[in-house]
Amino acid sequence: MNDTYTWEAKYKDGSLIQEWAGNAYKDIDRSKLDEFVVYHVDDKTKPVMTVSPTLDQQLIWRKRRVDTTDGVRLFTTYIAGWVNGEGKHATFIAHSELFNMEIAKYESNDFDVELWDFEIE
Amino acid sequence: MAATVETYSYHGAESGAQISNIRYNLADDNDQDETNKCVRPAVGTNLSWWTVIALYATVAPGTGINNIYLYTDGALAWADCTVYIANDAGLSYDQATGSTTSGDDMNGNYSGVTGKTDFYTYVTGEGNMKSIGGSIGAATGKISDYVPLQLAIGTSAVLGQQASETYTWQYDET
Repeated sequence: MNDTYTWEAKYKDGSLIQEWAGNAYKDIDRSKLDEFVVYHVDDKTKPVMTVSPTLDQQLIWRKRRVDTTDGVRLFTTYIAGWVNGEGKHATFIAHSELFNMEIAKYESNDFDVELWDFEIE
Repeated sequence: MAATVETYSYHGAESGAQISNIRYNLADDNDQDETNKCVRPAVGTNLSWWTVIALYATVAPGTGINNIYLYTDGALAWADCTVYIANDAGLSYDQATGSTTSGDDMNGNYSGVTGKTDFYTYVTGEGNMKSIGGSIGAATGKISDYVPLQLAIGTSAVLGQQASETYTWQYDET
C-alpha cells in the first residue's frame, strides 16, 4: 500500500535527501538538518508540513497506521514534529489522509494524550 | 517504501501464515471450514482452542515499526460468547491444546499466561486499546509479540456460523 505523503530532509549546507529517492528516515543526519518537509506524493512543490528542529530537539516523524486484521488499511495519520532534549516537551503537526487535511497542531508537556502518545527511540 | 504488514496466525510447531480471518474452532489450525466446530455446552462454558496471532512485515519498513496496539469495536455480536485475550506481554509461542468439546484454558495452560481479559473491553482511543509488545527494524518478520485469543461459548449461544467481526491494529511506521 502506497503512502499519501512523503518527505524531504533539507540540510544546512543546501544538500538534501528524499524518501522518494530511496532514503529512509534513519538515514537523516540530524546534526546537519535544517528543515524536514512533508509533501503530498502527487505534488512535491507544495509542503504540507515543515518542521525545523534545533540541535537540542529530536525530529519526530511517524506514520500512524490503522489496519484491520483482515488486511484493510483504514487510514494513516502522518505526524511530524520534535521533542526537546529531555523528551519532555513536544510540538507536532498531524496530517491525516482520512480527511486530506491538517487535523491538528499541538504542543504538550504530556505525551499521554490521544494520537500523540508514541515511543521515542 | 512503505512496509507491507499483515496478520499472521501461528499453529503447529510455530508455523506462521498470513490470514484474512480468524477461525475459532476445536483444532490447532485456522481452516476456514466447518470441521472441528466449537461446541455449545449444555451447562457451563466451553472454549475454543486458543489461536495465536501476530503482526508481521512481509515488506520491510524503511526504518522500523513499533508502538503497537490492538482493539475491537467493543460489541461482540455473538450471543453468550466472549473472546478473551491474554493479559501478558512478551509471550513465547505455545501450541494450542484441548479436546473435541473444549479447548484448554489459555490461562494456566499457555506458557506464561497468568490472566485473560474480555477482548471487547479494548476499543479505540488512547488508554482503551490493548498494548502489544514488540517492534522491528528495517527488516521483514514478526513484529509484535504473540497474541493468544480464545473464544468462550455459553449455553445460550446461537448455533451456526457467526457474523464476521473486525479487529484493528494501530502501529507507528517510520
